[in-house]
Amino acid sequence: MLFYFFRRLGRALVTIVGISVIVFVVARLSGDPTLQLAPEDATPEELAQIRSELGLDKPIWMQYVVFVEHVAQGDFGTSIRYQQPALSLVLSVLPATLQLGLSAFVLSTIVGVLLGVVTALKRDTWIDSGLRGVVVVGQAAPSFWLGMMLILLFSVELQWLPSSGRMSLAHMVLPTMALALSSVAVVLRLTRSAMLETMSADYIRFLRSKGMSKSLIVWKHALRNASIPVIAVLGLQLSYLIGGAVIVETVFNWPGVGRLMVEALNARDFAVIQAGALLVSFFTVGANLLVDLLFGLVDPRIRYE
Amino acid sequence: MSKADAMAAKVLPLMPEPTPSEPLVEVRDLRIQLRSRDGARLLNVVNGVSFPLHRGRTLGIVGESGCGKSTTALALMGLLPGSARVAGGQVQFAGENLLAKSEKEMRELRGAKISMIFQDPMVALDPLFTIGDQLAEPLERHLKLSGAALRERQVSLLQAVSIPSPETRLGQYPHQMSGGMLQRVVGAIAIACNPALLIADEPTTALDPTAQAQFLDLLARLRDTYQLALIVVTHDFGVTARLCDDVLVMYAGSVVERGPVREIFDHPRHPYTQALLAAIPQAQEDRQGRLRTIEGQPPDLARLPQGCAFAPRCPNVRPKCHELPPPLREMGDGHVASCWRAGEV
Ligand SMILES: Nc1ncnc2c1ncn2[C@@H]1O[C@H](COP(=O)(O)OP(=O)(O)O)[C@@H](O)[C@H]1O
Ligand SMILES: [Mg+2]
Repeated sequence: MLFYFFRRLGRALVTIVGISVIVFVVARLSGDPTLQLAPEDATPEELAQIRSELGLDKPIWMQYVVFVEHVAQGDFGTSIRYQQPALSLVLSVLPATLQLGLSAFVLSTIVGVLLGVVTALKRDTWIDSGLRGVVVVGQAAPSFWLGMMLILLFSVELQWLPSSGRMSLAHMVLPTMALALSSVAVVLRLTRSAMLETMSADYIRFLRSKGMSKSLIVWKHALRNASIPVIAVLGLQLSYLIGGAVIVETVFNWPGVGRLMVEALNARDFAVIQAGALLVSFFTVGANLLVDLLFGLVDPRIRYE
Repeated sequence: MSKADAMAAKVLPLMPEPTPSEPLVEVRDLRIQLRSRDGARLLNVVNGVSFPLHRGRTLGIVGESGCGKSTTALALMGLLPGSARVAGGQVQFAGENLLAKSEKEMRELRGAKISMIFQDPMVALDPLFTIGDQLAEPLERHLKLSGAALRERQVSLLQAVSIPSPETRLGQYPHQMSGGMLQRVVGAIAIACNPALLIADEPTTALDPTAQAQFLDLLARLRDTYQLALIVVTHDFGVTARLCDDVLVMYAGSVVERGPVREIFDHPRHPYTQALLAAIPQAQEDRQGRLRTIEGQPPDLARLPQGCAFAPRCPNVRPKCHELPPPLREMGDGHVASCWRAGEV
């Protein structure tokens, strides 16, 4: 188990390094911030001076090395737009994004798994076909479109729920739903097919021959076995949800990393883009690591590998 | 009594047979229909199976695959698949008709009074739970055991099926054990609550030859120690010879011959039984060591011939065989066969 853990940890570190390179290069591809900072009538000499102050005159690999050195000391650079450390800017909005992403994750996991079990057990009944219809819609509808539909229905028409901002728990409901639906669909479909497969396994028949109750067979044995392929995509779902939160944030005017990043991209605010992307990926890679560990907990064959 | 027998007897006190003359199990004219895979029609998968079985005795159910052996066994357990239905007959068990029982009532009997062992031990146990956990389940459910009493029973059950260092084994997972060992665990789970009837469906087919022999010996020992009524489903007459008192030969869902094992081996009356016996690989009979199989294929259940189902493959078929299915006829000594020519031999 310990060996398994360290192997996964090593892989997570490699992923983080890879992401940092991509983030760094992509930020630089988005344009040159010098023009944004310089006065309109700046001479080429003045531009060159700003560039060298920002370290942009060095070769890109050297810029990366400097960047990594600074990051290792907790310095993500300074936002050229706000003149504040990029890290503290991102940290101030990160909780809002994590709140949205994680609540959508918890919601879609619980609802998706429960409905997946129900549809598998009620196979080919109206419950099954009805819920599978929802799955098709959930997987096809983009989250921003869904967000707007939810706003139209619950905020504009019924006026039950607020559509914008992050003042209360009620503000969370619509963005969480908009974000979670497609993930519910994925988890439901996967749980359903995994449950159908495990319920026809030989060990289920043997359990029945032992006189075990249906609930013990379903919830203790079948669900635990079916959870293995489901866990395999949970990490993916989490990355997707935290990434997807960025889009939904814009629709619901949710003050999170997504909104900050969109502003930073428009301003070529490299430091903020880098800090935002890296922090979000820290969390998703960390979450994936947790998921891998969950695998080891559920499946002894992996533990003893 | 061997050491293992003594060990086993310690685990489960011997239950005296209430009325030795009465069979524990009496299956009468069992008929099962199964919806064909395309859903178009009902197939008569089991077509009038009858047999008695006493405690401490073993019945072998023999036949090529697809003849309805497993379906018969599952019907006794009340575990028929959703596509199957009981179309008639009775399964008397200790004086009650199991086919009239509700699923809830059957759940009380399964694992407690009637147990089953399946073909492939590698997939019979849940890979995510320890041997101990899966052995504890029926003990907790049916015998309400817990704590030290549960633990003690788990250990002695593993001892009863000759598993070394049971304490360690209880904490292990199925993937850490061999097929032969796992089938013993399955056996221990099956006898955990001291059942009266044990059904083993091809229990040794998936095992290597050494493990096969050991497991058959184990079954015989468990039967004798606990006075189990044992049903062994097999397509191998060798297994029957080793273990059984009586043999029931099935073909296309019907009983073609039934009788004491010696009778069947020495005087098989049905040409299908004769062909199966000839197909046992025997060094003297076949120097190349090849397995002699029966010519032709079992019939399609959806298109059974009008007369005897075996007629198309039968070496000594008569015109009458194509017209009417032969009834089961008494041959003496509890030996019955369904062949128009059974009386001639
Ligand atoms: N789930 C099922 N659906 C449709 N047909 C089945 C099913 N299970 C078994 N059968 C058919 O029922 C017949 C009897 O099967 P079975 O009892 O398993 O035979 P055996 O155990 O003697 O090999 C076979 O013809 C088989 O094809
Ligand atoms: Mg079978």
